[in-house]
Amino acid sequence: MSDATQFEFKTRLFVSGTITALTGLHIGGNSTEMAIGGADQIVVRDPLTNHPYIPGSSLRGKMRSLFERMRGEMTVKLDKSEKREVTRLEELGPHLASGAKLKSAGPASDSGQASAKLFGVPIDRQPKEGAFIPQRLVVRDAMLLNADLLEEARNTDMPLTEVKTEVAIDRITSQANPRQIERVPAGAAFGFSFVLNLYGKDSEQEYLGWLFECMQLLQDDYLGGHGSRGYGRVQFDVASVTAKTARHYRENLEPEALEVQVPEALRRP
Amino acid sequence: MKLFRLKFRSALHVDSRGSGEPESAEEFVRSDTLSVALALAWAALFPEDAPGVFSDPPFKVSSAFPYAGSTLLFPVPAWNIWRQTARLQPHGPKNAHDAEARSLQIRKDLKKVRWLSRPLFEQVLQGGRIDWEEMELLPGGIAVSNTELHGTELLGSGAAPWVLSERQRVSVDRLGIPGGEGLFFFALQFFAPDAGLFFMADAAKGQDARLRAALNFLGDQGLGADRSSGLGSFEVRSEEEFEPFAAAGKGWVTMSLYNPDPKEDLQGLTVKTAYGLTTRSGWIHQSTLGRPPIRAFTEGSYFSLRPEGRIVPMLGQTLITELRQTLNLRIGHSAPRDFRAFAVPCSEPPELMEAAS
Repeated sequence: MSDATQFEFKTRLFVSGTITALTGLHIGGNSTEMAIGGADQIVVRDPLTNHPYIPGSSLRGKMRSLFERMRGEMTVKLDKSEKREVTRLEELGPHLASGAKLKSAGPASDSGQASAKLFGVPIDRQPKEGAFIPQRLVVRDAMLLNADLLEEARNTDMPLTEVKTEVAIDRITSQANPRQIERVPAGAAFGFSFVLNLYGKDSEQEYLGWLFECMQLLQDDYLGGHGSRGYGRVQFDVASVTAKTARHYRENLEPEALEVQVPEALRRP
Repeated sequence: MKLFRLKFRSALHVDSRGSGEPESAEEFVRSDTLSVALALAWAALFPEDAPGVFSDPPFKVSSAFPYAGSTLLFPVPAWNIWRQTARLQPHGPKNAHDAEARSLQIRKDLKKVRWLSRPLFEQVLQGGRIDWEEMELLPGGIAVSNTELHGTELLGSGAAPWVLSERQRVSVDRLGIPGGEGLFFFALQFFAPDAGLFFMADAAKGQDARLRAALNFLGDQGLGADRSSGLGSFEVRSEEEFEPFAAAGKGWVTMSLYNPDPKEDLQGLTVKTAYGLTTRSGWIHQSTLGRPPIRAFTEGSYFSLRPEGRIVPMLGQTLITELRQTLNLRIGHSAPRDFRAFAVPCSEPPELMEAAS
């Protein structure tokens, strides 16, 4: 099969719904924008509406990282004495046993791995021979849906957000070192939208299965910062899965609803 | 001629200068970027049209400029369009020192103007100059006439219709190895809900439906950088017939980038001219190859004949063969770039007449 037919556009799947913060959510914004009297660590906001949102890059990066770690698929560089790269974590043991040291671990780039197929491979790591690996998953920014509710909430300290004070205590002197962290409060709902571009003989079921796996991994982990202290627990609620083929675009048709078995865990009770 | 308004579903990042600095971005989309993005979308939907759609696109587009509400914004032309000094004396301060200070302030403010509303732009195309007293300068360097401002909610609010902002981002080492992380800043352009970008397009006969299909496809795919994170995604807010500007003149003003074809009458084109120049660079699609820099006339340049422009191949056949053999790169195309002019008629600018007399 030639490159051209292998990566001929087949269909585009749109998975959308709501992502709700079950605990306070902190995705950091630019500290340089901090106002006097504000929090030490602020959340990212849309500069026009001033509404907090979840950047697509944060959502995608976290899902990719979890998916790669779960599958042991990543590109691990070893120190100079060992120039080889390892693309499966299970192969790392013998290298470490022989004295090699870890240098860095980046995204998966092995064209046979699910992570690389779903998230793509950076252009400088594309295989020199064989087929080009496109990035199939697009994760859009998730914008705040219930700003009105948060505006009326009685316990918000900054616009639409709460400020949580945390204190680090010196173990010997007992000196307290307080800090203020801005969080989007529990109950904040964001509209998410994932787009899966499928080519050639890509299987809809297989790719959707991987995407749902990523979403469940994220639900069982956390999004944003300070997750080890309970921040960033989120719940997906998939509302629709639709598809547009090349014919839909050519004939200017509306997307078609797909009959897809969405895992129960990705539907909010 | 069609006019398409794009409403962005997310932020946008375009930078085709090849700066490699994600913290900087342009606030509109240049015609060569838009043209190749449309060609890629076209080829994905109609593979039978590739590779001709790149080397000889069946459409021609202007650059995509901002709009705010119903107000279309056009780039400030390359010649002096202001008549502020003539109006200063009758309405300005009596004291000479104050008058000079006010004049200086006005000149400073005029330097901030980057965009003209359609009525102001048409006034310029018809050979007029704009009176400072009859316009309002808004955030974002937008100039509109006094009368327009009162009829436009978005512009009348005083808030900027778009904002260029920086987002702090971090790449995280998968195993938490120290030193493997990277912090960087990424420039993003956010549009107000009723603002976005518009462009003008001419499709070859019978190709309107294909152009529309390619545009819808491109909207779901995204335009510019970091599309996998949803950037540059848009929907076509409106598609309308666009009447060319009613300017009675022999000259032309570019609404796109323009690189002249050697066959054009360059002497005739530049009998009277006012122009800006920019260098276009960047990367070749799906490769780590940089595009050779190429100079082009900017939007808003004036020529005394109708400019045509050309499609410029970025890679010669010899280089392609060399790259395939020595670096094992799979480049099989010349990466053509569209520098054909999308021009509108214009009267001869008065400043140029004065300079020539």
